[in-house]
Amino acid sequence: MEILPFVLLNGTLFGMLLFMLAAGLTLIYGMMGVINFAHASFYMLGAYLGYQVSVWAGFWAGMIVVPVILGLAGVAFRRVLISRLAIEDQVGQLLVTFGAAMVITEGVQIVWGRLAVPYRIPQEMTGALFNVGGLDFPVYRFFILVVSVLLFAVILLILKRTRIGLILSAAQSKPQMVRAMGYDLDLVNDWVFAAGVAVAGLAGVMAGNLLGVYPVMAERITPLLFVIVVVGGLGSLNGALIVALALGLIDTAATTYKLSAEPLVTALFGAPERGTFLADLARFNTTSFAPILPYLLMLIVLLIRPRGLFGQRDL
Amino acid sequence: MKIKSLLALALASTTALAAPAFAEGTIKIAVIEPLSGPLAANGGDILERFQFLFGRVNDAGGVLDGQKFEVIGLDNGWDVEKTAQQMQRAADEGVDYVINGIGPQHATAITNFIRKHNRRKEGEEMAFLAHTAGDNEITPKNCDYYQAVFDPTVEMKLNALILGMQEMGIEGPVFTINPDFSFGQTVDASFKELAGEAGIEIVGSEMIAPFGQVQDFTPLVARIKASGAKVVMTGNFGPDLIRLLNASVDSGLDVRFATLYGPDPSTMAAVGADKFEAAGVIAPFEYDENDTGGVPVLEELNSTYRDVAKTSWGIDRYRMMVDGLVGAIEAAGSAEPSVAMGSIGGVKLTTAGGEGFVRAEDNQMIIPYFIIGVDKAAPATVLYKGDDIGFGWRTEKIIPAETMALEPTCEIEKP
Amino acid sequence: MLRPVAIAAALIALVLLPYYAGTNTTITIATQTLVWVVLALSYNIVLGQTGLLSFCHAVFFGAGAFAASHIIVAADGGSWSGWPVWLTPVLAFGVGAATAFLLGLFLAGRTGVAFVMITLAISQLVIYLAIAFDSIFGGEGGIGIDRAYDDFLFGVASFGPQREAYWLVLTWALIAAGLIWLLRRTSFGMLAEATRENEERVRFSGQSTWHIRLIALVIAGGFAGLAGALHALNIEQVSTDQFSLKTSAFALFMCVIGGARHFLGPVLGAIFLSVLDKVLPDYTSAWLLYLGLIFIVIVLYAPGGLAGILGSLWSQYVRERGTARPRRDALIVMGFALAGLGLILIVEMATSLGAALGFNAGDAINLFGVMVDPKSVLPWGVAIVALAGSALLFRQVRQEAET
Repeated sequence: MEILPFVLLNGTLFGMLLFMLAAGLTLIYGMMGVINFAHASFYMLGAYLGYQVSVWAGFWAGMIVVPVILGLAGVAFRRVLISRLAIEDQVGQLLVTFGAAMVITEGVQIVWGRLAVPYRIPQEMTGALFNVGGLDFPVYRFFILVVSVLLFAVILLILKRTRIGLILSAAQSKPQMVRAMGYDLDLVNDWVFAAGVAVAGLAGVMAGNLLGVYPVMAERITPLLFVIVVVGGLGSLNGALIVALALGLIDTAATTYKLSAEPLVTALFGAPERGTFLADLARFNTTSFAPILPYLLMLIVLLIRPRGLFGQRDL
Repeated sequence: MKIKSLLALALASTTALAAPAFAEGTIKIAVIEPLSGPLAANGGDILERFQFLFGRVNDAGGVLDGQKFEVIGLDNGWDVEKTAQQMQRAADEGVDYVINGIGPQHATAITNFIRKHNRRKEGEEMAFLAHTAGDNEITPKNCDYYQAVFDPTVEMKLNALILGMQEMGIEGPVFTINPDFSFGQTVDASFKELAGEAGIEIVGSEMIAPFGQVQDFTPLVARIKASGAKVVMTGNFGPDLIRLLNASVDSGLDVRFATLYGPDPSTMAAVGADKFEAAGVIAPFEYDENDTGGVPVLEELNSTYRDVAKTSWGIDRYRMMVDGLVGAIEAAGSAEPSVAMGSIGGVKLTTAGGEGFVRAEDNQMIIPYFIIGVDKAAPATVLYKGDDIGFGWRTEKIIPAETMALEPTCEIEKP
Repeated sequence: MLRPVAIAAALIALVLLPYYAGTNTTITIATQTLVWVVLALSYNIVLGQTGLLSFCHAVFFGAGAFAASHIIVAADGGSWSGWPVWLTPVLAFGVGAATAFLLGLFLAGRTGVAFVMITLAISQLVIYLAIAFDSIFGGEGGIGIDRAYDDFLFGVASFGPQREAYWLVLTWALIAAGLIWLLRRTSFGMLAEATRENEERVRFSGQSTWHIRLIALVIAGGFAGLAGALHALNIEQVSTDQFSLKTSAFALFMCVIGGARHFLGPVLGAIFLSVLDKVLPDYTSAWLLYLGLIFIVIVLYAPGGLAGILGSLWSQYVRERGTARPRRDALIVMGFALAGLGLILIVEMATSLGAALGFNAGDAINLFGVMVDPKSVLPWGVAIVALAGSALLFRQVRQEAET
């Protein structure tokens, strides 16, 4: 039981990381109605660029420079690819961004190769911050936690309290009105997209050295990402936060406290022989099942309540 | 509706595209590995090494009366269906020997194809040389005249690992972590059986979703801690192993790692020397370039490959395969698979740890095996494509070939 | 008048293919292409006709492939001895359709993005379950089969030789294509297209869009299952890879690149992708990059796909012969050529320099017979000039079109 605090802390950390990733995606959808299949690719680019910049100029330079680069890339991305499609053409958006994700993945392999790159935690932050139940909680993980919480607070503040935030929210539901007020809708959209993508990139810079930087990292995390924004409700920042945290904690708990189907199967049918259907059934347990829970959740939510937990409108 | 005729034309024009790739009169070798996709680097490395090795044989005059080898790479994109298609292509081009090893599922596809092909096309037989043993389906259960494996089986490796642990004084209790697919399940089951026989206590066991799906390993680390294990035995590789090692060392977990895939340059680079050392990683392996046992050809390969490929010679079993094949051909007096494969059983092999051989009952290579551990001060650090990883390995124990040879579980029927 | 002649000629060419194909490999490639044609056509029932983007189509394909494999294993000396191997695709159709029915109960209620997400979730669940149940799906190695386990058709064929397998697959592919073509002409086919265009109106006319989508999914699933059986017969090795997102994405690419609105679009897409997949990897390791770019260009600039392009070229040739615009066409062609040159130069040089290669990093590469050294400035300069040139040409074309 002493490991519970350790588990909770790491689950929260992982959840916040997922939130950073999902925040941009859900905001872009909420503000612009655009679904970006390549969002995780920007996360991946952030990780790779974070590695490269850290090799040339150190980790902290990466934290500052990479989101800026990705913000610009996001603007280019939106202008070249997305703006040519009609706003309602979401299938078209999915198609184009799907192709873009593929191109980015291949491009990354051409430049950095196909193996994981050695992106390490900065020297200053290795080591333990405190000890929980006999296990160390590293400084670096705490740093990520702090940054992600701050980020959430900043985004919320901008959206709810500043004029820019109000305009952005207005642009989603009444774009003509916003244009009539004299604001360049294109520029507004650029900023939204840039911000969303930059946050994903920042997540990459910070998480890359923790989770590894390798070419399939984007396609691995994309389905999870969509679970978060869909279940939380597309466009809802709060929804994304809650679902991300929930997934982080559930995943952690399922892996820590393993419940296996084997006792049940053995009780009902006797000990199964290796290689039979029953043996496969007996092998089910919460740990190996954990990566699948999110998809089950998404399925249930989409069938019962398609707008998600906090979404404004049905998908 | 010109489109329909255009279609027929297009379909017909694909005939022009599959042009044959081999010259006449050579002994044709096809290396079927992933040359594109996520594992392209691994597949590419393997192809390069075989081209290098067979090139050396050719430069030294070839085999028999001057016959040369010709090696091509066929990309399977790590797709089992593509492997089957490439086997078809290999058959069309008159390939004699097929080499493969990354992923036991491909070995299965290859053996399936070869059995059907050799049966349907007498006189054009192909043989399969496996450079890695991943699963029990190849040798232990399914040996064949036209098949030879140049890697100890999973059981042999785990047996060596346990013996090494005992000799090094590393006691349990052990927590096992393995990827949840055929290979990982084999490792898990075999290790538990062997550990039971050796009296090693296993206090926990986990099968994780493989290939980078698990993002966060800290819950697992928590469970290892709660179990009281002192050693973690893992068959994981790639991003899974990187994350596991990172999470474990970051949390200050006091365990040693007995791995199968620790000595992989990419993993080593991503985790780094300090963490590898802190994790006390050991692994069973066929070669440690810091201990060539004085064998001249190995000394030479160590330095030559670094010059030519900017990579250390850290893997030696491909050389053993080439030597084995050459030995078989010379002994049989012919390079035809139908003849040469009859002489591959019994071939003697030179290794850094002593003499090895190919066992005749099941065409399984039996060699002395090393238990290696991390050495930050190793004279020869691991070099990979120009990048110096920063640390190397040190031989902790050598397990002799006789001890490595477990009971064969199948017997080849001569055709 | 031209049409029946063209069709007959195409059929004859297809049937006689094994004779002029040369090697068995080519026949295998052609057989594989036929399998993909059926898969693409089945996918287009969902995408092109009913307007739904699905990422779980591979589930039906895989279901058919595994069903066929199990049947053949059982027939090969087991409990189904005597089963004619050439009838297997029929049962696979049934399995695919049944699977689609079960999943369709969950899918048919949604459209648009919700539909896509549900298919994504389903595909991940199926992959997970397939890998978990080794006993049914054979684990990573999959199931290996021998299609020539007996002599069939009164001893005429064993389907062992590749050409006999080709003819078997060709027969079924033609049957499937014919049925799918007929489907478009039925009132159901038209209803499905109507739901794609305007769902509300269809509902107002009293039809249940839910039922329409379900039936479309079931039919598409059936044909996908049939394609899966053909695939199993061709390759004789089926693994859980078949359920992957990659397979669904492949079907998607074939339909979009070929053109989702035209019946022959998926066919063109299948052939195009087959050529790309077989030929390009031998020349460049960056072929997936090129594929992705082609996909994007088509989605943005040529949503009708290859079929649309060919169709408009054809109508231009036939109808607008008097008003042909050679200058504009020449500019467009040159623009593409320059863009292609610049792009290929950059990508190939980057690949050579990049970390992906071992021995040969930074070596000169052979592009269309010319040796190019990626370490010198000249080729990079040429590439940039080519790209800039193509951009100028395209802008010129657009300006002239506006005046």
